[in-house]
Amino acid sequence: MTKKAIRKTVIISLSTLAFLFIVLCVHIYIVTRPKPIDQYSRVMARIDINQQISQADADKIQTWLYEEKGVDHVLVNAKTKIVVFTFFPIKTSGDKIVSDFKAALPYKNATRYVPTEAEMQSGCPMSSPSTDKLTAFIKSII
Amino acid sequence: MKKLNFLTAFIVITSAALILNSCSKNDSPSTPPATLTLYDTLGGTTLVADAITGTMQQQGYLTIRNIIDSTIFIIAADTRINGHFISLLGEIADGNFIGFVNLSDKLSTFVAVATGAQDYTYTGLSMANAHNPATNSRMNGKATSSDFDAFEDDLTQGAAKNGVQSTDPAFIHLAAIVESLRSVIVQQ
Repeated sequence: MTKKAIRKTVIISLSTLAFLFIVLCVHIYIVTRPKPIDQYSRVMARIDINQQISQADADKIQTWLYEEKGVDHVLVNAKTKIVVFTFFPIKTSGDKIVSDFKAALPYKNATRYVPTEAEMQSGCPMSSPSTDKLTAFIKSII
Repeated sequence: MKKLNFLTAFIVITSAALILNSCSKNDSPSTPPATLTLYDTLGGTTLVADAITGTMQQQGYLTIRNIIDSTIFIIAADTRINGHFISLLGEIADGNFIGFVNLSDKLSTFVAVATGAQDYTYTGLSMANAHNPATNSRMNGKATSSDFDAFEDDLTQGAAKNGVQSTDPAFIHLAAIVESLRSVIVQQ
């Protein structure tokens, strides 16, 4: 193989790698770019009741929440006094639901639990942002 | 020279195809297996409309996701372990909706693959690394055996909410898969 042919092969190989890297960057951007809220977006929220409730109270809370516009699914745990629900952010907001909840039902001490930023960074093993070092690196530069 | 150009074109096209395929999932169902997997008994590769995402999904995946979603709700209200799943309640981070939908998707995909799904790819950390605070900053402390018991308890309740009782052979099989992960998840 002549020096010229080797040089050409190296150039083609490097160009190919550069091209593939660009394709990978574009692909990662498309896959991981922020998605706008749409009709299918769902968010989970939690209300801490902060007072004793019976199962009958829990059932009433569940019924009330299901009647709220934009609420998707509800679970009330009477034992832990925690209400968990998902909602469609295109139709309502968590704060509005909690505000309406406190106005309509006798749970004035109820609070919406919103995690801090620090808690969000260490809050779930399966939600690890990126598992692939190359992907993480590329995401950091795009 | 012609040979070299052909080789270059082949490498470029093959590599691009491999890269673009690496993240794809459930584009087209795989051919039916000779022996039934747990995934097949949960609905398998039959494509059905998914009202939650507005896409077509495999029935096996949807069955699993329904159980996982119910389990996530139970976990979120379970003070025994909800401290490990705080980001469920996050609305937006980096402009993306994370939390519930993210966890639902990752857990469902993990379980789908573990039960035999061929058309889904789990891209998260290994269970050992995901639950090791040294390798995953999102793990806020090592999981204990009682945390794992609580998770299994919540999973059982989540399945029951979807009409799958703990005595169901499919659930017994699924529970055995989950239990087999105890030694890698509980790291203290």
